[in-house]
Amino acid sequence: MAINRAPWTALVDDDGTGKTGSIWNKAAIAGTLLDPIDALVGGWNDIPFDPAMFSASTGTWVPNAAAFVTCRYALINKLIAIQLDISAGAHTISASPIFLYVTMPLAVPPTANQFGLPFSYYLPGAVGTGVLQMTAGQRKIELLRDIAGTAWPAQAATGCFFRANFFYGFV
Amino acid sequence: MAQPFPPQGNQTQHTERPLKVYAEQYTTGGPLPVGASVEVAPAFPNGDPRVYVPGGVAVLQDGDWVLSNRYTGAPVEVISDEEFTERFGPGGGGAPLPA
Repeated sequence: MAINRAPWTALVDDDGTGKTGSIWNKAAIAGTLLDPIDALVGGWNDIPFDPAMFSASTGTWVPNAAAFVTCRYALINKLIAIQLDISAGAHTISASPIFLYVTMPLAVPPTANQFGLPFSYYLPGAVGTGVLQMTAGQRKIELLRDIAGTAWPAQAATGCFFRANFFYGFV
Repeated sequence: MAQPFPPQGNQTQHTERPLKVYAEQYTTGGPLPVGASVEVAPAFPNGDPRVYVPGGVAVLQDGDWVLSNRYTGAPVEVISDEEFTERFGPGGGGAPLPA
């Protein structure tokens, strides 16, 4: 996978007069070389807990901060890796929704639909491997119990587990 | 023919009685039975009426009956009208629920 060449493409050559062209200094090196390389090799970025990230297709999904074990992403050139571990703590699911949503505060949503990604879950009354999906252009991670849309059981401040690791591309 | 497996440990033998269940018939265009869903899901992009029962999903056909556990309220089985009559009798073997 090629390094992002946009900063390099933006450079302007000198025309031989010594009076034109892009200035090459530490800032330019950082922006032209280092930043694209950093993006290529990745590195985890933690997302802080925000209850507004969580919602449901019917009613509400409210985990507390203690359930927010891991939520982070790594940009690897044009791929993004996401790790989610929303586990234990106290979850309240007010109805019996088909979809639970985690809306990620990311600048780069997927450019194509991401369907059929597996994740693990346990709630009192339900355990198994669910289906995770994202719609092109949207930052919302959709969690289904299964492809047929079995509803999530309502919860009243119980310990629940949702664990996912996945990639998507944004080019 | 297989013989009964003897009880193990502190197990004792019991005889199960016929269970009372709650039943509700689905008719096309009628109200949706308790426990049925018409929400759009990946496998049901048109929101077909269906019931999630242990071990699977039953797509509702006109006249089907949805049987639910009296204690948990959860749907346990979907059967045809013909099977319902055969198992529960022409009147369904039920009594009207108290008002």
